Amino acid sequence: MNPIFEGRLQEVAQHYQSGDHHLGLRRILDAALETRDMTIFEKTLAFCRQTEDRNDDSVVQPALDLIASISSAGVHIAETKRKNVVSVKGISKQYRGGKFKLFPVSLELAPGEIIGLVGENGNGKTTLLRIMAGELHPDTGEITYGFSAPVSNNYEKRSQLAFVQQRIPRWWGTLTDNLHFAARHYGLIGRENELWVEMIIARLGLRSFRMHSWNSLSSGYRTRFELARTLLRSPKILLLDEPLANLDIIAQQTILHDLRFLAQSQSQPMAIVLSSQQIYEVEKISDRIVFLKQGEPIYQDLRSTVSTGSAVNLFEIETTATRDELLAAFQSLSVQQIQFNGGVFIATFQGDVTASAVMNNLATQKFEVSYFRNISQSSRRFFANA
Amino acid sequence: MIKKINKFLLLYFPLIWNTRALWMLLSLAGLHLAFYLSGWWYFDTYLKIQGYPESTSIMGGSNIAYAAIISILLIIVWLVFYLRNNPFKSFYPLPRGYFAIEFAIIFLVLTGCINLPRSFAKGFYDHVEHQSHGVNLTEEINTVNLAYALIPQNQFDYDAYNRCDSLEYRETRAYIDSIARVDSLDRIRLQAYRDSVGNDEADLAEERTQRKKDLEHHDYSYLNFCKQYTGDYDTSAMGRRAISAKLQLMLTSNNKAEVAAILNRFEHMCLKYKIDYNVNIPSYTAMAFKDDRHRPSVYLNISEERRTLDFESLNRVLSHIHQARTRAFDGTEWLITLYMALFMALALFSFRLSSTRIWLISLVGAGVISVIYGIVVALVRGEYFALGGAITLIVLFYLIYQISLRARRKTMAGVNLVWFTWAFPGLPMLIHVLISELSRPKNIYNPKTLAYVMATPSALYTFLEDHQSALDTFYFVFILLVVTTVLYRHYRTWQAMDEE
Repeated sequence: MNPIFEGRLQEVAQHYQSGDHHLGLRRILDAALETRDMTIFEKTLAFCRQTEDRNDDSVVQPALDLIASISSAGVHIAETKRKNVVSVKGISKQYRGGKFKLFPVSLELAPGEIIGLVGENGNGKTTLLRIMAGELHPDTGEITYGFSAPVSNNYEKRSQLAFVQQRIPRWWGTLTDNLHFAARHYGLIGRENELWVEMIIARLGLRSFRMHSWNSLSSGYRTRFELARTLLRSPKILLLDEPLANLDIIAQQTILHDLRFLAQSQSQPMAIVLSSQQIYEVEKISDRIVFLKQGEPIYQDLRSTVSTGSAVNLFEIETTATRDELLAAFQSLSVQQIQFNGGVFIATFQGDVTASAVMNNLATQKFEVSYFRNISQSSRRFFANA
Repeated sequence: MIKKINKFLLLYFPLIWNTRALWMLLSLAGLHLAFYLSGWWYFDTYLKIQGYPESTSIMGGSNIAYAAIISILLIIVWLVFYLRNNPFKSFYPLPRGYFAIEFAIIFLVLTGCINLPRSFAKGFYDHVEHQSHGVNLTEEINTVNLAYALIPQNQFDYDAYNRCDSLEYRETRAYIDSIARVDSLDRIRLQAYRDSVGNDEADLAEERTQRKKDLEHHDYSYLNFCKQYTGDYDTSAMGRRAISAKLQLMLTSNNKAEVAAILNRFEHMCLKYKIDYNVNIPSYTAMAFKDDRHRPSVYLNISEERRTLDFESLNRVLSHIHQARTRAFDGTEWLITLYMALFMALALFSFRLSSTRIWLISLVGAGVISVIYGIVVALVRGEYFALGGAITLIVLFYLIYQISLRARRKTMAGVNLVWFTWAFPGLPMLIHVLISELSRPKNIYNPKTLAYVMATPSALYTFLEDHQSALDTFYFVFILLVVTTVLYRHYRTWQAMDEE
């Protein structure tokens, strides 16, 4: 019995019992995938077919039965060595004839960790990812990959790296055939191939699109397909360039949540580096953030419990009030600065001013506030002066 | 069923699935069968083989055109599917031997496509062989040759000048004279023969005397006929001396019955093989015995009565029947076809393993270099031809080097790799030709005979000349081995190169 796995299964059961069937289905598929047991895969797929068009309480009992089966099958635990899968030391890059320069970047990633690369357009996110993926040669520094088996050439190295580009390369044929094709090259043969592909398809919500071609998929579903293909490759490192760019807001949240879950898989933990401009969304799932500002990295460890000791606190406010009205309202809180970027105000206070104090003042003045966020610990603060 | 097979291939043999090899090879098998049957059915009467002067023409003409159109269409359809997904460019792990199998599939498909006319020819000849199963070809050749003598075509054939003794004498002279035109290893052998037949001047004097004698005895007669019109490929058939002797025996012994029998058999053959004629064949029996000196009185080709008898078509029919029966494996012909397929396969393979951009740059680059080189070589003629060509090549390669310094590393490496792939099959043959030329024995001038004589060739030269086909086969196998075991590794390294 693995307590973490059992805990997750209990969560799945609770999702079903509380009526969150869609979330429950995703988690039950995650749990089934953790077993790597073909019998469980078959049962899970049968459950998916059985409950496909149902969203009522009749799915609860079959789900609980399946959870019991998954529990008895147990989790397939990956090797516990927690060595870094990638170690980047001081890599920098300047394109020939170009003015842009990526300043030395260093980072290390262990299985299960997620690093978010954030920054405005043209600040080096894609360059850094391409260097990590072996597509570009760094001017300085080195990258060390901790693959489970040694690689004898660059082709093998790139075979083990999974890099999902923002512009998904075109493929032909049906979605399912392409996934079978990829899975077969990564050692999945026959029935095992079929079951893995069906499971990944179900997991990424692509069941309705199994026989679709490239042309009939929206860009969001193409991203999902690419993720499905990547997952079948069972990579140790997953590099994602703007994976959220083509997704709607709900899909963004789902994918990010799934990525967090997939990274922390017990059977196949992976290290993920993803670039995005959706700062808040990325921060939710990342362990660390690398903020690239004109090519220069600013690191932020989001897991650190130690206070950053910031001298100031920043708050984003969207309101109908004017700057002068806000200045007047926050006078008692000794507001230092109020910036307006056309959409929201960013108010800067001393480090001891809390969010509740700011909200209290706004409420006292009876301002119409449609959005409020404390960005004191967020990478968003780096944009404040932009 | 097809879906199930495809699924099976996809789950177990992805390379076969992705290359559509099974369906392509099945299609090709079907097409070869269709071409074979077309060839079989094409031969409905012997009229069909009268029109082809050479056996190879069966594989030519409209047959080649149809095969080319069908092959091109088939290849286009195949490429549409084959070039879709490329696991190599997606960096999928590929097992050992993957590229060898993929190249073998490309090579097989292209070989199958360009050999469709062969199946047509095989079907055609198989039917000819089947149809002529009961034919005694030697007997028919003898009949035609004797009938050719008994049905005069040209007056010249019956001249004393053309009787067997005279012919053999003149042919010996002609053989000696031909020595001067031979510029090869054979010259040595021919020189030895020349030495054995004696002094040239003496020969010429003797010939002049004989010629004079022939003219003095000018005498057109069936008895002077000495010609084997057809069937020199059949060693069992009567040669011209035997024909002449037989003719003389029949005529001098007044054996009209046998002559009539020969002409009857001949007419039967003409009817069987649909030979066009408008003469009364049996009547030629009487003509042969018209006077006691057996002089021909009517010649087909100089007759004013438009007499025709298409001996030429009959000759072709017999030749094709012989060919249908004695078809053998022609190694050189196959080797040429295989080399063609190899060049095409390498062009496609390089496209598959490089990128479209790199392949097109290579193509345009090779085209530009060829055009520049061609123009310079065309302008620089005479004694500076070789020098001009060499300087042009050096300048072109220097320019390529300069461009490579400025171009992206991966781009230039890709272009060089593609160029090497295209040129590689020609390299062993080029080296062969160079070594052969360098070791070629020099002609030595002999002031006594006022002629050039080739020096004794070296063992290397003799070996290269005598084993040309075997060496070409060896090169072919060598190229295949290098492509499938070495070259792909360079493409793999290139594919994984960083871009900048």
